Amino acid sequence: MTTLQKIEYSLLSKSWKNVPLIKSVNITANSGQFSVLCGKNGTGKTTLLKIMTGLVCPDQGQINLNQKKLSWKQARRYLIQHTLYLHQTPYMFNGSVYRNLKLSLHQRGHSTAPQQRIEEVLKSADLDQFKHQTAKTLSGGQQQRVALARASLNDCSFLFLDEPTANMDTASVTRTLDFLRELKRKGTSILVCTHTPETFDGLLDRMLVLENHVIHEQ
Amino acid sequence: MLSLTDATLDALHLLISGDSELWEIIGISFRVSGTAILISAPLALLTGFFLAYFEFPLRRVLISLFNTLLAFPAVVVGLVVYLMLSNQGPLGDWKLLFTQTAMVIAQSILCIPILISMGHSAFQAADQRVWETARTLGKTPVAAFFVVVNEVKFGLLAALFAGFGRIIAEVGASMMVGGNILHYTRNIPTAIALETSKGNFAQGIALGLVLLLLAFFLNATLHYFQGKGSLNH
Repeated sequence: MTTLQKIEYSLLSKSWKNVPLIKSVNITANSGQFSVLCGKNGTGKTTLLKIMTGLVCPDQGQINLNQKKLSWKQARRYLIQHTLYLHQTPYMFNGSVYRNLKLSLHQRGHSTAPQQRIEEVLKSADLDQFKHQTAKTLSGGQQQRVALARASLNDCSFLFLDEPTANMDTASVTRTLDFLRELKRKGTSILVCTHTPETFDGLLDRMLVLENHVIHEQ
Repeated sequence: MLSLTDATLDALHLLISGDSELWEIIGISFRVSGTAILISAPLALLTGFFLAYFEFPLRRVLISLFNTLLAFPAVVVGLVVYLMLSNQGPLGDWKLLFTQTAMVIAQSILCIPILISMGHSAFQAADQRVWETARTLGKTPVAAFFVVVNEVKFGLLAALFAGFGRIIAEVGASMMVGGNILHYTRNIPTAIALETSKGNFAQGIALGLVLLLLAFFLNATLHYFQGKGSLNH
């Protein structure tokens, strides 16, 4: 498949122990587009993001990649390769910040990538002074920055973030927004799940609301 | 009868002088138990991983079953393997009874529940985000599995050491299916039982010391790596 430009998710449904989380949701992710997804707690936003990134299998649904209809099994492979999901509280692997970034480089054929690439990302994320520090000992905001740096090294075309600015101070929010702006400029499609959509006003292309298991565009 | 002090001194002398019979028994013990661990660990740890990370029918029943098997007496395992491998048993044609292979089979059966149960606990200690992060970074399922293994390696190491500790020190199953044959299936615990019944305490104590030293070595190794891990996290 050529470069992934557009992912269409149709009629996605998912239940948990017979409780519906999302019902027949239709959503599209376009290359270079910045979207914000809002909704009350427990409406299934995180589940939707995990389905969109291939981490969770929907009960029903159809996925079109570049307008080509694929089965879930086929689509999942592409979703894992081309999309990236960032947890609200990102997981830091054992070891240093540098090792965490290196693990991301390994994934998409960058195992021989120059150390310089990591150094550049460390610098742009203002993490170079933490390079050798154990990632798990960093503060929540710093870990979020490591996760974003890891994402930017990963070369994914579609980035899905779950509450990326929750519990961040103003300086960290600004730094994160700059980082996302740069990714958008490079053509990465970004979907942010948040309770504070106004934070992303300068970047926003599209605002979505998940309500009563269904998505509305505003 | 020798006093405990005399017997211990004799035991140390046997160990230091390199008594060939004694060291042969030690070698058989390590070979049999090491093989049993090597054979059972991959399957058992993979099972622990699936139990921790995936939902499937009868998952909870399996967890309870493996936890129950932790209390399975070694002699009962020995009895079952004996019945399977004896001439009248379904696997009698394989002529494995009273061989080291029979001991490996029995010891594998004994350590599998320990490895699964402790492996499951170790994998469970790492939350779902480890797997999800590895996968979303583009790792294949196999590569993601090894990322998770790296995150919980100390727990898995503890499982391996506990399993090895249990089987190298068990006497019942080894005695029943190995037959305690000198130069072939006599291992440390069966030798201790035999030498004690003969009143030869020195060799019994010497072998007991080896088991104690082994336990100390395994614990010290685990603590060393855990300590190193906590410094680097």
